[in-house]
Amino acid sequence: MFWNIFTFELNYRFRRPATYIYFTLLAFVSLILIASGSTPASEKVYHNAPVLIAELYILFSLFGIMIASAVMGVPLYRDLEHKTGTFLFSYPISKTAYFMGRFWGSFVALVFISLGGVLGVWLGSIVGPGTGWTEALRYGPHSFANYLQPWLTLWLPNMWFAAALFFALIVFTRNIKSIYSGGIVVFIAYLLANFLAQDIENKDLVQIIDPFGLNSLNYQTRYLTPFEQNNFLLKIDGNLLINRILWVAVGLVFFIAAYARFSFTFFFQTKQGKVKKTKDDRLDGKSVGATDVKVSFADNFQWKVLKALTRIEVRNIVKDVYFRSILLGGVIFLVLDFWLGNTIYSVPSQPVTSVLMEFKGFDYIIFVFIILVFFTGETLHRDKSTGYSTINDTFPVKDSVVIGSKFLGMAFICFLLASIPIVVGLAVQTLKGYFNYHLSTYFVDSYLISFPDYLQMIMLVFAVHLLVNNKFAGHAASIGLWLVLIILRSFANYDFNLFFYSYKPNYTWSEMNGLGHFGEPLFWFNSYWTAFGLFLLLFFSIFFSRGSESNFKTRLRRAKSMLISPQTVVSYVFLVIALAIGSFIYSNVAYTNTYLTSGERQERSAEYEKQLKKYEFMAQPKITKVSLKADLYPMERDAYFDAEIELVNKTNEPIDSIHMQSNQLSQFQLLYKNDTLPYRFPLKFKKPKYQFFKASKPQEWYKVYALPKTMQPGDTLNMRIVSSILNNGFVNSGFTREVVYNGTFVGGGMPEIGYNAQNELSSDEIRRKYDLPEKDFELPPHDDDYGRRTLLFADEADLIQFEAVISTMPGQIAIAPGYIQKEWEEDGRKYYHYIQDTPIQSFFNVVSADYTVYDDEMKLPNGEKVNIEIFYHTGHDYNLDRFEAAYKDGLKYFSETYGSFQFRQMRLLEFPRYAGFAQSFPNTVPFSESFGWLANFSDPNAFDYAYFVTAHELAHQWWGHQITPNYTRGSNLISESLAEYSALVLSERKYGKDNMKRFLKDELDDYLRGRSNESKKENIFINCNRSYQWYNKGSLILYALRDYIGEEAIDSAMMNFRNEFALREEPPYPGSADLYRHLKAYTPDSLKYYLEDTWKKITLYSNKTEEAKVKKISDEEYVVTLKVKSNKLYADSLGMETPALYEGDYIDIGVFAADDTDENGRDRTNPIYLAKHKLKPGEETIQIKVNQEPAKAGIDPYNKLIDRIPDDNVVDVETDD
Amino acid sequence: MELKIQNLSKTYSNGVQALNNISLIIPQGMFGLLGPNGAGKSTLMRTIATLQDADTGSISLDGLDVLENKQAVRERLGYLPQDFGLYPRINAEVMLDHIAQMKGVSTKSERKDLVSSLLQKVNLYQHRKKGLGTYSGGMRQRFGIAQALVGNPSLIIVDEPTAGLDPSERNRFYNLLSEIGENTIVILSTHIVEDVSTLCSQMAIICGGELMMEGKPHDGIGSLEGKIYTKAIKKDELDSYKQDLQVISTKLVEGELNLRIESDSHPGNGFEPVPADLEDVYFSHISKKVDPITL
Repeated sequence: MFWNIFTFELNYRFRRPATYIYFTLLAFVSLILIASGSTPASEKVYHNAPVLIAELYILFSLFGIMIASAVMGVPLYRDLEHKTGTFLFSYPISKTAYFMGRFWGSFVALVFISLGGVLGVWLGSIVGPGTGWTEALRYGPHSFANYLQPWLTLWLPNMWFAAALFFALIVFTRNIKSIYSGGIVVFIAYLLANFLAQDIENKDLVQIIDPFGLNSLNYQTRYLTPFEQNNFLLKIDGNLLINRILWVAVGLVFFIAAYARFSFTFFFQTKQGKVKKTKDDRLDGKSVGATDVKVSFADNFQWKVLKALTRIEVRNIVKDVYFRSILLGGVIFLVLDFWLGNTIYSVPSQPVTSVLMEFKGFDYIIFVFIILVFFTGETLHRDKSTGYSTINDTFPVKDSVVIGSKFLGMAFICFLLASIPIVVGLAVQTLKGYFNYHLSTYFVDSYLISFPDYLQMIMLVFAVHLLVNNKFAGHAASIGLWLVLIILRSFANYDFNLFFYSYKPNYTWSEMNGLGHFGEPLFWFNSYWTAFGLFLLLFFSIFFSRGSESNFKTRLRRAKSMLISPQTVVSYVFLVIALAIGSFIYSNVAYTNTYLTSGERQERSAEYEKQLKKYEFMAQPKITKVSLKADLYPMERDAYFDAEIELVNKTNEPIDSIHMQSNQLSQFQLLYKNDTLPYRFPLKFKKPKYQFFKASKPQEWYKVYALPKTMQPGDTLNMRIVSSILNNGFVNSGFTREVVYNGTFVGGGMPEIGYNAQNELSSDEIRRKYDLPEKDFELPPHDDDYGRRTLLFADEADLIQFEAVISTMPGQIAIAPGYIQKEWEEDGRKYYHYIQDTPIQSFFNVVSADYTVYDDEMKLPNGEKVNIEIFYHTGHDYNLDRFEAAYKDGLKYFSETYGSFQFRQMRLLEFPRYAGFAQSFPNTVPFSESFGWLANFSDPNAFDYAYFVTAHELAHQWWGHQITPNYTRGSNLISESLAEYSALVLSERKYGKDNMKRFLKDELDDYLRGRSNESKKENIFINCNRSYQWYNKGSLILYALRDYIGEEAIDSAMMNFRNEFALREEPPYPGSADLYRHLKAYTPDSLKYYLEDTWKKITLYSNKTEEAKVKKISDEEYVVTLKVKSNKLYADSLGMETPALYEGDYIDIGVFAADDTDENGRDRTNPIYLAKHKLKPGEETIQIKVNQEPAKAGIDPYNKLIDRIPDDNVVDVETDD
Repeated sequence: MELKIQNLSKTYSNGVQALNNISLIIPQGMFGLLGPNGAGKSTLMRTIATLQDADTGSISLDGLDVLENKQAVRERLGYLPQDFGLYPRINAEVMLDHIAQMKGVSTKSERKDLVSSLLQKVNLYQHRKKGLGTYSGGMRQRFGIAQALVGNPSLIIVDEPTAGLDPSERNRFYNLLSEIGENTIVILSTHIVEDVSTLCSQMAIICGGELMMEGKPHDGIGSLEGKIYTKAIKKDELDSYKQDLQVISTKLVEGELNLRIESDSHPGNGFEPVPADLEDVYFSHISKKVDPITL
């Protein structure tokens, strides 16, 4: 019997086209992803690497929730729906046979569907390299296990869980809607869980409770190097294994519960109507009102009807339980996003309005999209699908009123959805005790930006549904349309907003600059898309079908007859408006601001290298003096520069021409004695693709000038550079951040001299595409002559004399490096004259904004005075004390420890949050609005990153501005790693070791993730070329080195290094090898292995504490026995590891009493024993006597060493009986 | 006032000819449209109700072309479709009020009175606050009747109005319809002969898209008077009777087949004359198009 039902079910499934559609869809999508190379694999990872396949399978199984609900929801429900269930009573079928047959039949079909994905991945990795679509290099060997193992361990269990869940849902609820909502609920719950998981410290829990294992997989694979991703099957162990077992078991529970609950009598019982007729309640005695009424269709009848219809439409939607539940989901996310916000080092931000408005784009927008897309379809088809249309369509209401009311109903929903973030935002701000509500920000963002956006969304969906005239096909078509847009943008790299319905340039609110210059493109794009949307809506409403006959022919005939009717004519008017605005936008984006596709930008980089590489090392003069005049017009977003420069030929060959280039400036000219010099623009590019008409004159950003006279070695020449940054119109991305209304921050303002290799393409895969040789190193080797006499940050100069006169609009303060000489007003403009009286690198900036200034002074240990100035946006004084403390503590400590400070002032300047960094110019540090000014450090355990980052930037005055890195491999580490290390030491002095733990853990995590995403090769530290190396690895290994060799030794080494090279005005300049030399000098022989391991090798430890037991001898004597394991590994540049051969390394062993909190309320660990032990590779048992009751113990407890699993170093101490 | 249908034809895209050159004149008062399932009644009703167009032919209401001036017709129309639904999440009172507004009852207070009066008349008053989605089939049908009567329509079309009503509700419905003013055309399409015999002063029978009969029920019965004979036979004898006689209907009574035939003269052979009724008129006409024998 089971067999009959099972095969019946299978036959049923395999006769349904849906089965094959799902199968093909999965196969097709995965084939395209793999074959086109659109996987998340980094460049050295195969597109079909086993780990990657595993990840894809999990993603498929997530989207497969929908398929699972469709397949597993129906088998029992079918009999309920068609009322065939009642027959089943009369057949000799057992419950078991029926239940099992239906379940397993459907499940086998589901399994079959999933094999489509497997097939697609497999075919994709044959087709991709086979057809040359993607380089064969990007594919690994076809091992059958690579495709099968993740399917068995990840996809199959996920399917089982989903299948059992949906089958059980039907059995328990007997309602098909529970499947749809179940699908949505599971999906939403999943998003929610993932969202919450980001901030949970307890990663074990997150990994285990994730039903689909995505978090577990990500966690398990987060540090896998390219080599490991390519060569090893995913390891199913630890939390991932527990996760798999748990959720298969939960599925089993659902399955058994469903089986137990299921019975024919329960499942197929007929529903009893809730309503009983009460015949007695007649109208006797009650007055019957007149049915004879005044009827009028005059005047404003249609208008009144429009209002009435709109009202009932809104009522229909808001009473819908699905609408309510999806909205509830959205609101939950909104509250969470608003409440938690974006954290930096887990530190939240003040809930300022401009930041909150950004968060609604995180998750809420997804729910808005779902609501708008589905309910637009529902609304439009409501009358047909409920059957009410047969009544409604006979009412004397115009078609346009009917469509209009549906649109207005949805428009009201849009309005509602746009308003909710305001309410939630105000509530969150109030609850958090933040009362500085920015109502105008709320209103502009919600009603002028989001609301039109939502309206545009429904206009398109309306048009689609009107044309398609079938609810499900309409839903499919509209979702399909959006999917096409999204796929084209994210996979095919198309981003020309003008052609992407409803897409606009991005925008960022800033407390300093409000909506700023983003308002203008947003206005035009919103007008453009709204006009186009109205055209769609009005035009396609000619396909509106009314009445009982709706075949396409009838509709087409009707539509044709309406091609010229008042409403279509209005639609044409909107089309014309859209085209007019569109051409305005087009000329702005494609011509005024030459839009280039990402492919074109790549191609141009390749051309730059091909055509100009020959000039790379040619002899060029160096700038020795800059006297800059800058006129800033913030409201016009224009900046004009006029720089008098002195050039010196420091080479020993004559120079007859000078090369200048700038990607930043709109234009520049070189003048000699007030004459503009002629030049040549040597680059030839193809015409920009999006300039459909005549190509505009290319911007000449690389110029070759013949010098007025040949410069012999040692010759000096005075010239002028006149340049400008003009922001005309707007760009496709909307993003240009330098010159803005309030918060201008321009670096430089002058062209660079000579060819710049940093502009070359870096990805080898892309380089091969353009026939360029692979590029192993960006910079020359350590002993390269050119490299040693060239500066990394500004290769056009050694140290220079600098002064600047800057003008800006009244109400703003303009700042450049140097000491203020004079400040005056002239012709309604403010002028500031700065002179830097000591030489600096040619690395300066110009800032202008409406600032409040905080002024203070301090005395350095050597008696010199330093002015401290903090320029901030009025109201952003939350953390002034932290910035100031960092400056004061740092100036004191760094000048004591590393050598004297070279300036008499130190400034910090807030700039709008369009970029999230801080940058250290000589005595001047622009510091982003979003990077600490608004941080809320009320939690005493919070990592004070405002202090840390300020200290880091201050340390750059030594490491970067005194020590000026040269142009060789790894030299950036003497700037960045040393600054990061110095800031770490300063923070530790203020907040204690324990407070650093969280930061060091992040640094380790970032380093390990960084190397696992490495797209080329991981360099050894001394040649470092990636931020994960110079920041994250750098701070870790220097911090540990300090621990090994002692504070004094490392400080002495660094001071000697500084003394050898500080403020050199002539080459050679220092590089990473110079620092290494000084460090080595202070490292005892017994520890040289560590220095070499960290600087010249890629070294990883695998440290672990197996167990820790304690035996109490007396109240003051405890013996702790530790079983620890330690191994050292060396990795190659792709992450292939080999065990190191060594006698033994010095590693911390620590024993801790129970944690408590200190007087500041910070958590405190209490080491009662901490010492370095020389540990042999492998397992070792260590006995330690302590005089307090131990709670925890372990190996390398502070995670000073680079260890891929840092969490297993410390364990709780067990009592040994 | 009269509704004039001339040479109306309609063929659906699947090839079914629903209306075949139908011409009818429907005067004021109750007009019954009888026909078996699939006769084209609903197509005709929907066409008059402006829900769809005919291929050829015309309909005019007092000289007003219905197919061209849908708006004008809709302003006077009350229509109860055969199949319809309602917004499930809206309650009856709100829905009827809404419909009243659609039908031009613009004064709020008037609408309120009208709604409660109509709901009382169709015996739904006590359920007025319930969502329409919770209504049973009969209740929904009654709501449908109520909405068709909103706003003094002068052309009322009710398609299978008594389907799903229990006998007492059916009576209530008959009473309600009979109250409708003189100056109104009511077209009632049904396959229940009783509906017509109870209510209608004029009637037509259509079958297979063609008009079979038009006139007063009384005249229809009169034309068959003295021509209807009946006899109880065995089932297996039926075929031989069908060959010789014009059998118009059969009915099983206690295991035997009661045969009704139409004949100008007494067929003898055990047949008994019986008085003709409207059902005989119905069967007599449709038996020309379809085999009425249902076994």
